[in-house]
Amino acid sequence: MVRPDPFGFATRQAEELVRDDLGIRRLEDIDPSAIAKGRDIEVHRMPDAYAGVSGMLIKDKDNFHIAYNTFIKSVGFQRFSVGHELGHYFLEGHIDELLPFGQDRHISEAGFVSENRFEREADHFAAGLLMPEFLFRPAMAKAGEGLDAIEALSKQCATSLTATAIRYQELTDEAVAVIQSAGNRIEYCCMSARMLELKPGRWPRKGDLLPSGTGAAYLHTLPKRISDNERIDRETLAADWFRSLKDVELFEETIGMGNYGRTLTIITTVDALRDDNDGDDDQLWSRSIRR
Amino acid sequence: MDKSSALKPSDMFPERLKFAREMRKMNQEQLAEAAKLQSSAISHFETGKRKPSFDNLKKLADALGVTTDYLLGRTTNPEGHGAPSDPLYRDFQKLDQDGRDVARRVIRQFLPKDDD
Repeated sequence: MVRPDPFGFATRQAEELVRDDLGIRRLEDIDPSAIAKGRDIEVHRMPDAYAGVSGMLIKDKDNFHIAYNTFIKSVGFQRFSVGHELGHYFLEGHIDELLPFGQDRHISEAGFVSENRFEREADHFAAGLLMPEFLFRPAMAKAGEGLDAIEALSKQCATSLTATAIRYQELTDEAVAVIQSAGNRIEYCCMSARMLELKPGRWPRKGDLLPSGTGAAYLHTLPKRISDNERIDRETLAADWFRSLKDVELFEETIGMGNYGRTLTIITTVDALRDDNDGDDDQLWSRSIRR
Repeated sequence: MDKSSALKPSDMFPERLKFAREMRKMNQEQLAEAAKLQSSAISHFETGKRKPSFDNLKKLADALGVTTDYLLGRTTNPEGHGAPSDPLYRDFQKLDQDGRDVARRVIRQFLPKDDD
């Protein structure tokens, strides 16, 4: 099943920039600040930590500046912020959304903005810029599976675990779900095309309580477990997370994301792996017992 | 203000782009080459089929020797500027006072002080 991605064009535009305009051939060579400087855009750290603004694109006459915040002490988060602002710079149509044409008018228009389409486009641009498919897919093939793969790719791309996990589930051929949680509630859940083919029914939504007995629920019982980057891997019953998958075995890997205060859970299906492995029991076994 | 009757910042761009190109006595292909854009892009911009990005806007302004604000209709002077600086944070108007202060400090700290 192919899911239409309304923001895929933004991802592809960033990928074309990396591949065709810049001629970059290694993930490690992607530097959003250098890409900005190549367009004569000056990049600055914001002078104050302010959680309400992760980044900003500034037009000063014919010069452009990007300022990014450092309130989250993560190079990956900061690189993504610069990539996001580059999205506003490179994507068509963003002039009308971003450029005030007189303060009164802008205030008036703000009330009509019912969804953050332009922010999501810029996010997709940033993901394509930092993790272009033509480089990310080969890296995925070498990185292994599940959370271990995502951690390795996160280091290679200098991207946050969350951003890497989302990109991973977009491009993987496996059945994978990515769940981020804060407190004891789910912030979001996204799933690979293969996972959706399993028809998981109603899946975890923003604001849902974490299912009891899951690794994520366990880590959230003590904040220290999250700040210490504690990790818990376990096999679980699908019904814990997905109502329609009662008979499907799941493999669940959850890690505390330090000062970010969230947990990231990667869910894969053992059944799906068994289909993929086509009887390769050694590989399935090794996956089931690790950690 | 009624949204439906409001001009968008890029609404004047097609007309200004064509006017500036003809002022410089360039055809669409010449401008495309000078701005390092596909030749079809100029036609699409001038007919309003495509809206420019800031990157397109900057390349075209540089190639034509006019300002970005002129191409956006924010000034009638081809070498003029409509505003000293614009924080292009989409929800700038929605920020609380602390957020706006941060944005303004960023601008004050990093941008040139001249106000021509």
